[in-house]
Amino acid sequence: MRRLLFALLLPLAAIAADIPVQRVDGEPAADPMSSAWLAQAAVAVPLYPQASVPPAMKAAGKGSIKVRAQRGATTLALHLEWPDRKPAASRGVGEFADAAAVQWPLQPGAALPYIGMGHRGAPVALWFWRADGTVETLAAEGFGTLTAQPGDGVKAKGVWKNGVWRVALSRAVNKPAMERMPVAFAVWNGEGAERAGLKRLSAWQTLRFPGATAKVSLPDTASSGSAARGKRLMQAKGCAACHNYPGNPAKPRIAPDLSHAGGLHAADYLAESMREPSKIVVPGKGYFTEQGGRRVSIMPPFEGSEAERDDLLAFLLSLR
Amino acid sequence: MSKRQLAMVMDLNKCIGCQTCTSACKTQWTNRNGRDYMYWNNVETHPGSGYPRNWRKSGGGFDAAGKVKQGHIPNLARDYGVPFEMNYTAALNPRGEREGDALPHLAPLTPPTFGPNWDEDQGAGEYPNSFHFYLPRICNHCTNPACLAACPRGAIYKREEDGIVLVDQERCRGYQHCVGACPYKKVYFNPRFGRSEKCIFCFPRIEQGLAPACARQCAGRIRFVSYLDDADGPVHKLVTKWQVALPLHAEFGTQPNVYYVPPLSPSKLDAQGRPSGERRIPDAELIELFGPRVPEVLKLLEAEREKKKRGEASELMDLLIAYRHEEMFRIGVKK
Repeated sequence: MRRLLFALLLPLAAIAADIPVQRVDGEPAADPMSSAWLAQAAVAVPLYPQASVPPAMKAAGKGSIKVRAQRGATTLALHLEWPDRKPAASRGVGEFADAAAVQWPLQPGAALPYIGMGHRGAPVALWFWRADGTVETLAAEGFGTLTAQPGDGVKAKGVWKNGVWRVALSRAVNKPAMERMPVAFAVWNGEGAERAGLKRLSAWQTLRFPGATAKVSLPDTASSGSAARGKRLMQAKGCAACHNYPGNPAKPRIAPDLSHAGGLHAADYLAESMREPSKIVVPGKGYFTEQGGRRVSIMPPFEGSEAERDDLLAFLLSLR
Repeated sequence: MSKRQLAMVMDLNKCIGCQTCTSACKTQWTNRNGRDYMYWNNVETHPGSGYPRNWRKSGGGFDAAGKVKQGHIPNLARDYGVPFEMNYTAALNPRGEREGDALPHLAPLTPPTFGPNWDEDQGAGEYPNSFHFYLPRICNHCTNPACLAACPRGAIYKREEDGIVLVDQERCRGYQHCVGACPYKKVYFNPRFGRSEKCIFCFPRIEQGLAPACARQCAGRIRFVSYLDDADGPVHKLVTKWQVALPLHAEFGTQPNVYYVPPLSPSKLDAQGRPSGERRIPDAELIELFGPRVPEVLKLLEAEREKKKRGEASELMDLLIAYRHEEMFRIGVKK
């Protein structure tokens, strides 16, 4: 178990916040305004605009969400808090409602699913809350595959007050199999017509359950390379022909936007994408070809020295 | 691309703007459950703002590189028009409220500001050369549908057997990207169910060998329905053989499958009231809708009409006259 845990944590270290789960007597409060929630210290998690697949957000506009977690006798609950000047609570013709989602890997312990709603063979489960009263459990295996699941008792309540949404989501859970659990977040601003891929999302974070060994050493996965050299290599190695990132004047839209690559992805995922581009293929139109039922990325595997790879990694990780 | 494509031709020379097609569609599909505001089939006066308002300028379709464009989602009150709630109780109930001795007039409870046919029969031009014609519109069941391309979930599909474009109601999550991307604005969001809906080419009727309700009910017999590849069908004859039926706004890039026979018009009158020989509907107006082949099509129609007038045979005119309504449809034909 400890070995499994270690493997799980490896990719998270660079960008993951450690969100402690507080043990409470009875059950966590359903009301997000309850002092039982608000008195607890929150962990701030950065959110980045989704720009990997169209329809994509403009690269500007980072956000942040405050997260609290509690575990009662039978339920696990999360409390999300984010600023929003004006609430949008109804859906209509050309009208969209504010929403938030919590994402879980469906096979915890295995390699982490792609942050954008998982990937083929690595599904995620989602708790979805929308300000029009919708509460759903969903599952996905990558962008475009989101599918509603039969109700599994997820409850959620949201309250907007003085420019802040607070939402408490909970569900009955068995005793967690792990001491830590990967989790990620997304927020939609209805007033800005945000829905579907028009959203802000976080990288994978970890929930730390009560009784977890406090000191699991988190290996430093930051790259030892030079970001400045890496930036030059983006041109030299041809990355700039297809990927957009700050400082690329061509602003190409042929491959996923890398403007926040370091904020959303762990070093090992980025390294794997360079080494083996077809292992996890982002399902954007034109990003891949279908060969014998297998998706083959249009990106050639990285060719170059290890030092060059580390420099590129250092540059990508600096994009937050 | 589907294996086969059912297509429709509408002869604008015969459309009298009676809205029987609109009523047929509405009573069949859209008179309840959040669809009240939708007109899967509408007939608009052209020139005019159309329905929804200014749809031709609403964006969508594809750019030169073949990338789908997002376009605008029309506003319910401003661009579609909210269905009128009428004062039936007060106006039609003799024991209801009265102003003095008279019953109040039958009228909408809230004064409407826009609706389909808001500018019906207004048209353009100055007397005696004012002009207008009717433009009936349904979903074009495009070969390259922008709605389908814009849906991030793959919830829109094109049927292999007949090319009918449908929204999978199980997959749709109401994101409305399709609504904005359709350059004809023929996908609608249903606020009651939170999903997008559109003209289904009456596929349950098609599967029984029947023409869509709008076509079967058409009093002016303007609508032909058959497979594009069926050489014996009227659509193939008009689109491919005679080449007198043209797609609407082909430049949107979606390859629409509803074709229009452009309308002829009487001659303009000069200051002395004499025919000038120039068509009353300016060619430019029609070219904007149906493309550069309009003048040549109008010329052919005029020539064939003259033949018929002289008592000579004209296959084209006989086709367009449609002596027998049922000959306008060839649907249950297996390839």
